[in-house]
Amino acid sequence: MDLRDVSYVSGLLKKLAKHLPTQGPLQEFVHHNPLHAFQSVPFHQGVFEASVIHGAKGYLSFSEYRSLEKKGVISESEVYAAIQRHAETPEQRSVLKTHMYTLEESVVCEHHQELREAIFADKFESLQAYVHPRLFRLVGNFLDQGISQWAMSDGSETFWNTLRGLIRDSVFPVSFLEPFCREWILQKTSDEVIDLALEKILREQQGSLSEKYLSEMLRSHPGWSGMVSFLEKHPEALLLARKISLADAVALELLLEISFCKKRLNDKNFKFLDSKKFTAYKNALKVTSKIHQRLADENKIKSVWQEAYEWSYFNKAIKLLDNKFRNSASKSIKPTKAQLFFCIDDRECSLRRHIEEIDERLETFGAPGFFGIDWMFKSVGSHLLAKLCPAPVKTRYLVEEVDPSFSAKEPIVSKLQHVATDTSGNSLVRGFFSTQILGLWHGFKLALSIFLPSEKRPPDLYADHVKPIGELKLLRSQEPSKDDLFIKGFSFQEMADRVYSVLNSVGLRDGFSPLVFLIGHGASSVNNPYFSAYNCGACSGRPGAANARAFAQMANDPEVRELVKAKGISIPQTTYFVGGLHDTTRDELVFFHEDKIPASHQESFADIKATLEIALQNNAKERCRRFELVSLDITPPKALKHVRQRSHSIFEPRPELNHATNCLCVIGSRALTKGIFLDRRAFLQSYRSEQDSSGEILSSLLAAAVPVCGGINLEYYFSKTDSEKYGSGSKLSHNVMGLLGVANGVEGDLLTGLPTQMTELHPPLRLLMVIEQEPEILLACMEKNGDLKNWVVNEWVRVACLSPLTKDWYVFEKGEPKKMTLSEELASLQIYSNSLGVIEKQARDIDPVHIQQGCLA
Amino acid sequence: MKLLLISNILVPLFGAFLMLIVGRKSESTASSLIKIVSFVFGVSVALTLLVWVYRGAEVFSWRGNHVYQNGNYEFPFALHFDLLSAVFLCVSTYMSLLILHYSRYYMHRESGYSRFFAIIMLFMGGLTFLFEAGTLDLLFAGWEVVGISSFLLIAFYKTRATSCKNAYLTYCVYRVCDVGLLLSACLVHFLWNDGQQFSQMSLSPAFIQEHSLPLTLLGAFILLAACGKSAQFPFSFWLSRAMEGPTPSSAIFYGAISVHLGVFILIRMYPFWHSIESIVWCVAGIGLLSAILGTISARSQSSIKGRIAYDSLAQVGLMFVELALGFPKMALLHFIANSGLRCSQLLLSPSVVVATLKKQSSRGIENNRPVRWLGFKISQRLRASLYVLSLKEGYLYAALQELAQVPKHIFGRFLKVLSFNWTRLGILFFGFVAFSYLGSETLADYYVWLAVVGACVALLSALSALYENADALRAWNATGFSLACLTGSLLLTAHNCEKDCLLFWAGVGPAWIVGALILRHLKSKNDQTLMLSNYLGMQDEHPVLAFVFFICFLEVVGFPIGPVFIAEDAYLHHLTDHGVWLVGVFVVAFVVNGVSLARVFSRVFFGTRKLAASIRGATVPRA
Repeated sequence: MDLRDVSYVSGLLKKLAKHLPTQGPLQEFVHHNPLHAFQSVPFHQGVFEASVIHGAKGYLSFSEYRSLEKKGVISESEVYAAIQRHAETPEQRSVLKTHMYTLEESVVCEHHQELREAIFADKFESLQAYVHPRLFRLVGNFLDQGISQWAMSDGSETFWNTLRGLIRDSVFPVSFLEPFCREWILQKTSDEVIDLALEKILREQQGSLSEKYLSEMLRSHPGWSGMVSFLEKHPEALLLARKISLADAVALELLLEISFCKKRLNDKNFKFLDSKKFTAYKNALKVTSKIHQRLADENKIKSVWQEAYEWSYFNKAIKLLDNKFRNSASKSIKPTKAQLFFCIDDRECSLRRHIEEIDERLETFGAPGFFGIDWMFKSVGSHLLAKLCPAPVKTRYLVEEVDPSFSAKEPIVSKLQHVATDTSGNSLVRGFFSTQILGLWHGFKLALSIFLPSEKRPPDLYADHVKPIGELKLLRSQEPSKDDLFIKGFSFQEMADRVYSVLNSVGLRDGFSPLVFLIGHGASSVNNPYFSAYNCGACSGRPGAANARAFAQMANDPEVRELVKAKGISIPQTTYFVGGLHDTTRDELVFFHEDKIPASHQESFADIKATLEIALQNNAKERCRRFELVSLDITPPKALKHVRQRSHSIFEPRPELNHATNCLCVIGSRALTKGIFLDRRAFLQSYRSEQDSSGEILSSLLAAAVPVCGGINLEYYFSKTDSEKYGSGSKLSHNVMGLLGVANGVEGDLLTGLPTQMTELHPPLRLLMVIEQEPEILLACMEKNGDLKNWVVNEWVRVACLSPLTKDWYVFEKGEPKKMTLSEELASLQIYSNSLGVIEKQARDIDPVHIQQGCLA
Repeated sequence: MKLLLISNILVPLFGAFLMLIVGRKSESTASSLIKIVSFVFGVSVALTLLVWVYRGAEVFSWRGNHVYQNGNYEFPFALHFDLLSAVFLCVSTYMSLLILHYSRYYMHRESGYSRFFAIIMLFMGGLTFLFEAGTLDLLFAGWEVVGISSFLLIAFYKTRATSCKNAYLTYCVYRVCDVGLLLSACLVHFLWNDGQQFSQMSLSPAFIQEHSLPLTLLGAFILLAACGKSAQFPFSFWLSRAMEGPTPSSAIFYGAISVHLGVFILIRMYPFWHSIESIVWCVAGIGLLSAILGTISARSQSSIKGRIAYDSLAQVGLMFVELALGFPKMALLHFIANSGLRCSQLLLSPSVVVATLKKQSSRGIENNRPVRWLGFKISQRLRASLYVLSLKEGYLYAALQELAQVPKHIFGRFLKVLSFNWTRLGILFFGFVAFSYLGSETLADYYVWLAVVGACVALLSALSALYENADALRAWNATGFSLACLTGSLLLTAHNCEKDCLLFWAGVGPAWIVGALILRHLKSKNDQTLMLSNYLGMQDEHPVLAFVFFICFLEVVGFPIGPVFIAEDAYLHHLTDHGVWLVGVFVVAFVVNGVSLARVFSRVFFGTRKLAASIRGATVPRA
């Protein structure tokens, strides 16, 4: 046996892995840009390159753009402006315009498999139909996180070794592999097998075509390839440890393909790549390159439409903000009753507006919903650690919730309840009895839950975060040694740093009101595998309840306050912090440790709670206008009842609409956005430009806000433009695979992205960041952070900034600020007295408008 | 009572019809239509049950006029209602009303909203028909309706190749099991010619003695039908693969009702097979084997719906055992419980993520879960073997895939020859048949041999259609030719069956011609090719043609919407009188034809339309 150099294989796979989807297992679902790998090139180019590689659409269709224009969503003047930007001479412009209004798609955007189609010819489809289910089953069973009762591995061995074990020990064949393939698995490493298999298939062309072949193969099932490559890089994302590498999966697939050709085609001498097939491949390549050329041309024209679409909205929003900014007189600050911190999430945008509308003396702020606390949290009675900070943040802090009176025994009723969804003990003997006993009960319960959905909070995974049982042990009792995996708790100084940085970043340095609320958010739903995507993105897809609670506890601590004071923010004795949670699905506010609020504040607290209850009703009413099956005339209290039932309805694929329609992110003082109806489309981060002349705060805000909000926005964008390939299609037929992801049926590939039920109302616009700061400072921030620069310079988010000094607007084009000229008058400026007036009888997207006459003096 | 029974059948069928016509307009119209239909259906079923109980819960049997008669063959319309019907009707109504209500919200804004509900209502109508049917022939009609609605719902997302493949797989299994039901219907005609109603089929010890062979066969055929519908051994593989449609449809079909129809038919025919000891052993054996294999397969299912499917079919296996042991009432109870549990489990299947994580959170993560057998630790070798057996689901699917290749390998070359020359051969054969038929009586000796040749040619032609890859039209025509050969060979064997043949061709003829015209039209639109090796996805561009072709397909395969259904039954009946040995060939040919036409339909109309590699349209100048 000769010794062959197989080191090239791992390099090759590493290169190919770059373009595979990077979505983690379900419970770790975090929004990210599906085209993250292309962020180093400009947006439109990235969209094209990705559509070549993934075979997916990155824009709407021509007819969709045109019908949007007919409806007036895309304004004619913006089309004109976009054409001006993209073409120079009048002739080019008129040609471009003709194309925009007449062209139809002439090619289908699909992933081309020229090489493999040439090799397997008319057997290509049956090859895939044979190989894929077998591969998915083996890989899926190996990675399974708790659906099957018999595990394939105990986690100590790699996938390859487990496979070897099965092949060696089982008297039954694992798959109908050719004898020599079996031998290869038993004797060789996966890299060696890949090398040998490629040689068998590609023969003389192995050197030049290996990459092409593997890339086609991996992308014929992007879901599983992506999952395997993700888990190879992030094994910690799994609760049950599994060691797998992309090479293992690839090697197995190659062997299955070879066996298929030899056995199923009943052709011992199946010629893989001979000269005839090679010519066919070359010809196919020529056709593909023609198709890609066409695609590139079409995309160029669509990019003009897309920009016109975006600026049709952006300009309206900017004009209104500008109008607000110029006309709002600096009013004397009344003493505020309370200050409320919300997450920057777009779903809190409307609730903040409703609160301020009802009581002017309630002041709201927006800050990332983990409130600066980077930690792992372990609630009473739970064996799992919950990471409660943004996914990229690495943390070693661990805080436990303790309750000495808690007993780990499960009540018998809940044990019984488990059987319906439980996956163990449902088979033969035990199953016989449990079926007989529980079947009727389940049939009955089903009818109850379908006809009379409860209004109570569903018992979801994070119920124990929302209903605190014990005490948070925030203070570190002993210093950790270096080899400890976790640091248990924070020191006073560390707590003070976190409290200070949040207060400082939103610019709340003085004028504290007696009560300060920190309101995290979560979303409770039933029967929803995407539950993580509904929760707080800044808390890694979990509710921010514990963070709000911890922040309040820290900020109420006298020692912490002393240290914060030393840093420059003095919190008065009379101020008390209260943690809370806004359930965005149920429009419910929960407050933690209400009994500990000092007696002097209780009356005011009760008063504010009553106000918030009305605001929640109004917010529910505003949300209900987007639910087609709910009457537009529903009253606010009924709307609240409806959304609560909705969260508990097993038949409801849309417990809430989540981030759909998001497209703005405003970083600036609340005065800029207060009294403007932004239709739940904006992420709002509080920021006082006058307190940040160095740009340091802005820099840290942008480092968090741009990837998080941009990631959410682009995930919605692409899941909308191609709901099957970037998105996961309709949710209705999804089948949960090994708790890792969802697929269609039992044989399908894992699906990535968002289901149509989440994106159907979303207009695919990129995010416009509106930043209230001098452009120079912004530029300086970008210089410091290369990643951020990529986002802005390559226009994966659009940036507009408002100079507080000159009151001029700048828009960033290719990373350069350009002054905007805004037409003076606003077309038909209608002013509404309150939000409910704006939404009356309106089911569609609403353009930004002013509310509250008092604001425009 | 009989009016109520008929209204139970007609209300959902009429609802399905209205849904197709009116429901397409808007979702809200469809939604209110669903409300009305559910209400009327619910009231009608409730009244039926009330009246039945009021009348003392006795067996109700009613016979209307016969639909068709020729010689001693007749096809009566008869209804039958007893405890079995009542239980199944009650459970299925309960479940379907739940599912209808559930799906009104669940399917909101889904394209194909009205189609979904039309199919569900079709299913409900078929079920009720099946439960209330008074003869095996009529039961078969309901059985077919259930089968086709199953096929349509699995392929609900008709652009996905996997859905279509699995819909076709399920349809094939159903068709194969129809062999069982068709043949049992024949045997019933044979055994109780003057009283095929369930209530008239008497069974005395002497009768059993006299007809022990046909009765054994009857039992075996019924068992075959039951095994297929209920995914018992050796057909266990299809159930998990059928979970492709929207979750509520999977819940009602494969969780609640459809999977239990095998149990229904076994109870319906209980006295007939239970008197034959060998069949009892078979039922028990198959039930037990399925239960064990199902349990083993369920243990390593890593997808939730797959797991529920295998758990469920293991329970159905136990119901078979209960029946064999002689406890039909216990099986009925078991059915009620199992349908409630599985339906609920399937509907709640997306919750499995939260439920499992919650369990892991409260009990801790158990990483090491090796294969155990009845709680004992076992050797490495046995463990690996059991795991692999579980992983491969008892090798049933793999075996089927191998088996499907066999005819191709055996007849491969022969089929090729046949598929090219069908016209010439057909003309030749028919000329000969006509000649012999019109000729003298003395040739009668040869008739039999000719009939055998004709039937064999029909079978081969049907097979050639099944393995045709190059041209859809050719497959379609080969099927038609096959049916023609069958008619020819029937004419040669049996007397006085011209009326049946006319009836048969009154249905097949027009449908065949229309279907062929549609395929020709599509072929000309598609660069003169209509390959069957891939899914072509013509449905998007030609929805109307797809629908018309679907109707033609149904008519040709003998779906109970036209005369072919009855004529097919009559064909077989005549054969039992005159040439029993040909029945088998006929039935197999019918089934293969059905399967190959389903293949033509799904390959041509389902899937995603791929444009030809050439780029159409004018070139785009650079902007």
